[in-house]
Amino acid sequence: MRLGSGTFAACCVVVEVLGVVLFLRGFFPAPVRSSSSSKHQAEPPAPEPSAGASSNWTKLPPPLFSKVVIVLIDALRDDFVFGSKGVKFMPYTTYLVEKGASHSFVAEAKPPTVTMPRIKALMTGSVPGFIDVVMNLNSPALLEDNVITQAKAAGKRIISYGDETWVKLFPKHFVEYDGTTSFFVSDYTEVDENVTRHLDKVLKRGDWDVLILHYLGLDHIGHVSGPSSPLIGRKLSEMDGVLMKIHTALLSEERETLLPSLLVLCGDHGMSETGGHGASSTEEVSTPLLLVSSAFERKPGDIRYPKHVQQTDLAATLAIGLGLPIPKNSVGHLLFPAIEGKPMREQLRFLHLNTVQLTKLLQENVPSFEKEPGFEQFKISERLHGNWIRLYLEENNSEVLFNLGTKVRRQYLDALKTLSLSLSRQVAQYDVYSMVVGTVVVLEVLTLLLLSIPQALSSKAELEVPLLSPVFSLLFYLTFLVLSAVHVIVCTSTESSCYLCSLSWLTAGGVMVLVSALLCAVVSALTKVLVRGKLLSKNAAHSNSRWSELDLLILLGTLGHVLSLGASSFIEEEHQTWYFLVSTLCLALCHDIYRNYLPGDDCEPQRCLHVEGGFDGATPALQDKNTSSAVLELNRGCKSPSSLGTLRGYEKWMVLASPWVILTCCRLLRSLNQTGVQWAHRPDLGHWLTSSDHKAALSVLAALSLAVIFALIQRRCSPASKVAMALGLLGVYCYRAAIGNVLFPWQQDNKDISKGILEARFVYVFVLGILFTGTKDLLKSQVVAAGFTVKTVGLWELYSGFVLLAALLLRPHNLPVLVLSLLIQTLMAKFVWKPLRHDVAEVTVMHYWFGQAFFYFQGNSNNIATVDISAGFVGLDTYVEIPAIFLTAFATYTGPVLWASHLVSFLSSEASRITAGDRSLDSPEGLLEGRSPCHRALS
Amino acid sequence: MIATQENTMKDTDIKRLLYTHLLCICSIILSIFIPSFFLENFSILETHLTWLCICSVSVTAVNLVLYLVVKPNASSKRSSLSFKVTRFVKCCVYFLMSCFTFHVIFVLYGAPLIELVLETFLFAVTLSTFTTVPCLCLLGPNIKAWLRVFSRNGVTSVWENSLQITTISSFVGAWLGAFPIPLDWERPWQVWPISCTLGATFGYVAGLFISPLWIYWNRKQLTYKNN
Repeated sequence: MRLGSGTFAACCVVVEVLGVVLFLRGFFPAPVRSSSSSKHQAEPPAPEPSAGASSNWTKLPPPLFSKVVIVLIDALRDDFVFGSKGVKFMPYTTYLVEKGASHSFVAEAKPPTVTMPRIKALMTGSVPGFIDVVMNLNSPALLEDNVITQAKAAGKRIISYGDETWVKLFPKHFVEYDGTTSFFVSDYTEVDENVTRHLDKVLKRGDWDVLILHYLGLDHIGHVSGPSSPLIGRKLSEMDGVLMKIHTALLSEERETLLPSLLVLCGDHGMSETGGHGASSTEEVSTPLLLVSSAFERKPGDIRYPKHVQQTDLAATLAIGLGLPIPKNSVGHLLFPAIEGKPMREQLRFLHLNTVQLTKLLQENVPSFEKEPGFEQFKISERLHGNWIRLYLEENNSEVLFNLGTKVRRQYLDALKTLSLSLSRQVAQYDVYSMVVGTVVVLEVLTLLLLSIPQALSSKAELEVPLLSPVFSLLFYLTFLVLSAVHVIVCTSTESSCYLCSLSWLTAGGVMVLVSALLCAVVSALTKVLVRGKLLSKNAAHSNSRWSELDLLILLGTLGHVLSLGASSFIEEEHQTWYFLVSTLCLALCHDIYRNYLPGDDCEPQRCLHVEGGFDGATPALQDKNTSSAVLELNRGCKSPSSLGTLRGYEKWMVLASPWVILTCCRLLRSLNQTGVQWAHRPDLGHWLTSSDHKAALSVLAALSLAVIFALIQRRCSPASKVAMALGLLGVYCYRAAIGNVLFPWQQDNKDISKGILEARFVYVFVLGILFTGTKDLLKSQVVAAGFTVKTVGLWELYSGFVLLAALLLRPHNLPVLVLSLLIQTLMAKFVWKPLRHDVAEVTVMHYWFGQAFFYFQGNSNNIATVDISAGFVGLDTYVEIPAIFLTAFATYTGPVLWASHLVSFLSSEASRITAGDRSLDSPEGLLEGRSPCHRALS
Repeated sequence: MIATQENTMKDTDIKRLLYTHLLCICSIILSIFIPSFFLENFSILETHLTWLCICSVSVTAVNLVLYLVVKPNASSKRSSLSFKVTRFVKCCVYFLMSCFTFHVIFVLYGAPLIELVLETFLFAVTLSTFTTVPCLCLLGPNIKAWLRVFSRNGVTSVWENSLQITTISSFVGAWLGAFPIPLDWERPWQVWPISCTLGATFGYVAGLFISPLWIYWNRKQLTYKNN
């Protein structure tokens, strides 16, 4: 089957996307959550089960504790409290653990062991899925049902001191708060003093119900000097003092109230041996959990060892302790020791509430929940519970009652354990089968693509895809049969849910056909390439084309970037990689230019220093390139150093200076927005500009930028779109002035700030107009075959439409990014790519690099928090999903999109230049002048 | 006959090249260990700037001495004192210019503009010592010769060939030295510009090692244009 290169590439991309989607579907299992999770209205609590006789206890049980203090110490590992360090540095806590009225546990945290997901897990009891990040893109606030929200709804007064993540997660939940940031890792005294200084006052006041203290110091010490540092001991002693203070204050207050109070000591995650956290090693996931309350009184000699529990269990326990409904998505089960001291009826009631909640969650997430062992156990225990209630109400003999109660209780605890286990397994399980199939599809397409590159880029720009003949081959049917058998076996044997198995048989069969057809295509393409390679190696021994330094840099840089993504800190600081590569690219271009153009350098071929065999490894690739890049090379063969002579003086100097100008531009942009993780807090120009004191400077800058944008973009536009562009850019400034970002000279005080709907829509009209003209030209060039010039004009119009849209959406302090991007594109096109005659592949990769660098110049990073959501609301009254998503995506990817569209327009203009040059070879001056074909078409 | 003479010339040249390079390497190693006898608390990482100064001074000195002793490009014409003085002054100006150029390039690459100016500048000086000083010694303040040596096929002697290799390896070393900076290992040598200076030094030493070996290995294929 013959296909055009473009069609083939498009097909490959489509199949690739399918494969990636399949992989991601397996990699990110859907989180376990209740379908009614968005609604916060309280459902009536499950009434006590009763068999026959009616029980009248349908309300929620009253709280067990009057006051709850949660002391969360960041990166508190279990052995800091229960191990030798605890004995040495935390004497009071050790006393509480060993002899005091307390229950201690080792709580296991689920990875990622980072603070925010851990706080979510502690408060909602659910295991945050990765998909959550996408789900609440709109706000960092926690929307899921959680203990804090429930407590607030129940009228409890909550106070939070410490890490400001709490304030971000639960905005408007706290009657009083003081957030400390964890930016300055080297500070480990002041962050904690900022928490402790409130303690005396708050403990004395006592007008609160829940107090949350989040200490960051220990984590900071861990990051700086590791878990065996002497500073750790000092910090632990300090924390011990804090605990003692709180506990004594709580005890003294308890005498006045009826109910006891609860002190919870926990860590959000542990600390690895190097002091970091985030992964899933034992040191990182084990955290201590200590519940202290006078309700947990124990007899002397009662030794309690720390039991292993899940971190998610705390949410249910806290909810019960405060007399609140258990969060709907909680997968944890109640820590039973906390309610052990209560009368049997209450104990059973609590256990019943927890089991009902878990069963409901199970029902909503597992289609075949009736078969789950946990569900059966629940049914049995509920029935037993009903019987027990009847006996209780009939006031039977207490011993029988007690024995039966113990039995019910054991039954309930078993049910809880099974339910909780199967629910959290649901979350933490990768769907390996879907992942494998997705990976196989992606790899097959990739191989096919790589194998067909030489053919696809050849002069005919079409290729023979070996698809039809293999479809009728034996190999295809055999693979299909094997795959189907594997599918059946996998789907019938696994207990867990699997995405591919839940698809219909026809769809799954389609996937199998796809996989085996691709396999056959790859195999036949491979044999073809091998055969051709053998032929080539006979007659292509003497190829004297060598890769230039620039080619080498481009190849190694791109490969190196891909490899660098293996290290997490290189992902966090990816912008540094791109800035570094782009700077190096500029220097390499500079070297190239100077070697070709500097006066006095006679580049006549010198017959010296022949190194044979130095490029052995690269020869096959070279041959490929040699044989197939006939069309790629835009006149490269006639690259002559004497072309400098034809350049006029000013242009020559521009050629020599342009790499330095570009480097300077990149450096300026780099200091505009600091992104990443390590240096994100550094002061940058962007913050300086956006602060309200420098509004005048920002206005001048914005106006100047818009003017320069117009000057740079108008030179190749048709008159109509020139006017549209000018009006549009004027509209952009008006829009920014209307929403109060910039000032008009005549308007000194920002009196009325509107949403600027009218102005923004005014700009949209012009954007759409320009885009429409561009599309019309493109279509015309397709239909009428009017040649390249019309197409080039159309592409440039599309490009300028994108620029106008970007000017509207980018924040005013980011307008220089747009300006400098246009400037660099102009300089590169005019003074680097054209005179040096770089081939299409080089130009494409350079566009890609610059596009990536500009993505980060805008202030983006790989952190989803840096996405500027406000762009989605430009010109819209309310949140409308589709336009908002489109606008946000465009604003985020402005850099890459603009460079990609510039690439298309540049390549088309080059192609038209070359065809024009072929037609009028007798006037080479017109070629080298750099006059745009667009101009010529117009004049 | 002539061919064999050329070959022996080349072999002796390569031998001399090896000895001079070993001396250069020695000077760098000594600049690490000797100062600790005289200065208290001297270590490469703690007192990095001192080391940079000592290292560049010693490398410059060794280069100059070697140049005067070995005289790789025996200039035939006898020159007057004033010519020598102007040549020396020119060399100094070139050296300073290269330091400033490197400084500007570092800033363009993202080095802080105002903070750590001294560190950045000393790095520039060190890199100039590794690259510009040998060039000045060997080629003199002659831009055309430089361009010739550093264009693709412009090398005319063993010395220039080794110069090309050491210079390029110093640059590549400094370039690679920037890679560990964003990693979160929290090591003292990840601070700007320590990793880069260390990278440049390693690159220079590696170049010094490799270039005689490489030239020796490829001596059959290397034919230099006689001028």
